[in-house]
Amino acid sequence: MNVFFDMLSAAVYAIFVQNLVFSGGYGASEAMRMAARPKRLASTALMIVYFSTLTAVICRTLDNYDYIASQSQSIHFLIFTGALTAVYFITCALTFLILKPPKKLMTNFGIAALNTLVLAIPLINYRSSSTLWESIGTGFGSGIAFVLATLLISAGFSKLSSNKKIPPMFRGTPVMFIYTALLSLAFMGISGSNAFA
Amino acid sequence: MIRLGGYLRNPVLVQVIGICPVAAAATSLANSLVLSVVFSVSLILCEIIASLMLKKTARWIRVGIYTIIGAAVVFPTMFLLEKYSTAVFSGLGIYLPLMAMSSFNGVHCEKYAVKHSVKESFYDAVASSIGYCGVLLIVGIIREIAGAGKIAGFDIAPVKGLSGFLMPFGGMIVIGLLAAFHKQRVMKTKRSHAADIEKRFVLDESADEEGTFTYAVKNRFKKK
Repeated sequence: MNVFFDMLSAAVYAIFVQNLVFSGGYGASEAMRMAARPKRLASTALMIVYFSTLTAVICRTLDNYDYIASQSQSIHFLIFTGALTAVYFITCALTFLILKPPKKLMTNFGIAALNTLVLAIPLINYRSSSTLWESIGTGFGSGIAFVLATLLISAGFSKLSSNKKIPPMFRGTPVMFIYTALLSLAFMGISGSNAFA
Repeated sequence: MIRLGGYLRNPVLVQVIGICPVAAAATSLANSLVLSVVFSVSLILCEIIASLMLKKTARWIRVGIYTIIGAAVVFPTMFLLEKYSTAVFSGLGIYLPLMAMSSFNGVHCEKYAVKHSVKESFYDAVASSIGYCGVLLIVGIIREIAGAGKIAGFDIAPVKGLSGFLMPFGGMIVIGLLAAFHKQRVMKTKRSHAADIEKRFVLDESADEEGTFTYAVKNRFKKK
């Protein structure tokens, strides 16, 4: 039961309290671009959950070896990047050989796996000395955090794009950034951080 | 080409690529300088290698190779910083290794390098680097002054500054204001490009923005 609650609390923390897209800007450009065409959101989010959870588990397991655990931060970061790249290549190769998928799916693999959000998970887990179960929870939560961030940006932007009161120089990309900043500020409020100390 | 790739179609302010390091890690001039050097070297190398050797390689393999090239540039820099400049190393936190995963290399190599000659790809990489690093440096300077009351580590303001500017939301606000300023400048000189900035974010599949993986793939299919 404790294991379940460890995972759940880590996932809830990653989604709401420290939404990685808003609090750290991880995967922000993917989320903002996805918000403009949310049709591919579900498949991309599923892939992000897969890549981030699997990489988090592999990296946490590797860290159990004394030799790796005793290495410097830079070596850890290098190992984690290598692990994610290996997961990406193996997944793509197996999918390509077994399923013969359409090219669009293979393209989505690249977008979902090789972005800052997915690599940030093992790095954050390492820095916060998370357990294996917490790592799984954070990996899973990060995918849902991405969905939440994209939906919030998309919903707000559909209103903003039809608002003619916005000055011409702010329409489009500029207002998108300001709106995302306000969402980021709102999530900081949930985490209890003091933004203007 | 530099005016088009670096200014009119600025990677951050118009194409919205590689936002994470700018919004989160560009909190001082020193951080921005390190990120700029790493970014430029990595992009130029990626585009040259993609144009020279990867044109006939499967796309999913190419995308992985861009990450490996990015890591080959990022990690030696990290080792050096960890050894010789601990302050900058800890200031950049996990954002420096994340540069290896920046979507920027993939987008530009797929959009441009694999379809053009080495020389053209090199110029594209230089133009994009100038545009991206320009924004990185401006954002870094503004946030260091507004957030810490310093510039390049030296106190310049009598007050301490608002720490909110050093957080990702502060970075997004600065980028948003810069994007608005950039758009106003573009509206005065090149109206067609200003319209393009507005179209970039509309809820319409047909307006799938240039510069994404989807765009690159669609274009390739159209050519066939």
